[in-house]
Amino acid sequence: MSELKYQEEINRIKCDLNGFSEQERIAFRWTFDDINDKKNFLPRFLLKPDMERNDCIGWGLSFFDTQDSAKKRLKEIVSYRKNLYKKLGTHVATGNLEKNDGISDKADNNGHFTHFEYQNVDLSVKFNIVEQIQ
Amino acid sequence: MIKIRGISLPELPFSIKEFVGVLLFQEFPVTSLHSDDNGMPVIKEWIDCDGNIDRLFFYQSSKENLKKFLDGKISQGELIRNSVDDLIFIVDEENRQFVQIKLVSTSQIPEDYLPSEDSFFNAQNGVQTQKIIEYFDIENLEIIPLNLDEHLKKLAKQKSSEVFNLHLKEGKGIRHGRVDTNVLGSTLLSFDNLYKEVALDYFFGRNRGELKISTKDKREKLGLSTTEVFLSKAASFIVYIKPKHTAQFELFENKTTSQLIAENLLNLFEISREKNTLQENYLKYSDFVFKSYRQFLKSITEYDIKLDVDWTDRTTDIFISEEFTLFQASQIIDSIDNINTEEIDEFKVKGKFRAINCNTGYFTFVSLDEEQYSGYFDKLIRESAPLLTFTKLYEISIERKIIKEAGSPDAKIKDKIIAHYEIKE
Repeated sequence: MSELKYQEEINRIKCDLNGFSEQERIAFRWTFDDINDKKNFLPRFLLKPDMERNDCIGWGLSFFDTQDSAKKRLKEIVSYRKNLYKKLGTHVATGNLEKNDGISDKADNNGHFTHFEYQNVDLSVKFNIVEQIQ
Repeated sequence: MIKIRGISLPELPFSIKEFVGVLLFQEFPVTSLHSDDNGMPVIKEWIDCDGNIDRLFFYQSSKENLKKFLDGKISQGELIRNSVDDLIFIVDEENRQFVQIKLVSTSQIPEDYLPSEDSFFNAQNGVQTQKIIEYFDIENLEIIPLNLDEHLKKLAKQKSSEVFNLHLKEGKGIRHGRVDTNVLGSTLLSFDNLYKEVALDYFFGRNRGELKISTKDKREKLGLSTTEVFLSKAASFIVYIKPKHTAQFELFENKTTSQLIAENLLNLFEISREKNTLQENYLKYSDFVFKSYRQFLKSITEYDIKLDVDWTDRTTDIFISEEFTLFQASQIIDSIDNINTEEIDEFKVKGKFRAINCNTGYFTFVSLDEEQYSGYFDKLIRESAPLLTFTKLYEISIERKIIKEAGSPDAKIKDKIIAHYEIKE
């Protein structure tokens, strides 16, 4: 297995990556209207620099298995905090995750799964915006 | 970002001892739990951002409220609004540094920064829920329900007064901690008006409509017949009310005037529950009272409110609670509407007829002191009407029926001539 992006940071936290494996799957992610926006593929620990770090999942990226589940979930979360669009994105983008992009787990009931990128992977070149939510 | 109006602080007035875990959400940590030096929860909520600045709420909470939130018994908005001392610290953070800290009352939180009304905890959204539950030992926490009786007594003691607790539980425009202005306004105004009428009955008697009361006396007593709101609370919507003037002199039975007014008011609620008891006790209150009571009940039916009126006082052990629902309020309105009282009086008057209709038996009679009487001849003497003249002096016997309809201060008067004879020199 190649080295993960942020491997050093992940090593500092007790991290159970059982259940994560290389997979080929279509994935959907919240992004801003410009697919090249730097915030689009940042893990949540970097989205909010003061984030407390006692689990390693925050170094992964959130994806969804369908466009509908991505859209539904964004709307659900934003209903709790109106301004979350500013942080999470306003659009849904889709792309293919390949085995050499990293490791991911199974989607949960919301269709959400976490993906840890390998070093030097740039997902922004593989993803295209498919829908505007906000 | 919205400009925050509050008190600027150099630092948080409590220390954050430990980060416990993220409660919401996996995708982005909106709500996270910390503990203070006493092991109590400090909640941090992400609310807004602008460039590199993140805006956060910090507030101290209780384990009980945290448990209620996790059990789905209160919403996230309630969790925030029920923070310790009802205070929130709104912090602007940049590069891990607090660049601004504002102390804000929970009632002053901008609407945009509050979660939606239905933001209840959904276990699926929890991230480190178990860790948080274990840290604060929430599973073993026993929540003692609020004892309304004790709570009100405490308030009454604080205020050195009686306290009414108007709890708008359900109905149009009533949400947790929120109520439409028109619903609250209508309920409060109609309650205050009812209180005033009961108080004026106490001061001037139920027949006060027929009395000439000096403006000075009326103004003085009106001052003692009003209430004031001194606190409201989110729980659907609670308003605490007390008599505006509490320093009233003690009367007999060691009771103050305001206590006696409250007793009369609560007795009115009590007697109106049953149609029979209302009928039996109807004459204890003036029609002004029933009119305002009817208006109070109307505001309950109009907005389909479920309302509790609770009362207690610092000097007694008595705690009274009355519940009004749409059904009960409309039943009481029906009972009031169905009560009419009829009084019959007989008297004699000397004077002259001014008009007589021999076909219908209708008459107008003017007494020697210029008072005018109108009505009908009794059937038994109607035949005698054509024999009467307008120039002669008569003494007539009048049977007067005074019909009072509940809720209507003005009585209907029906006069009937039952006997007449000519006065001869």
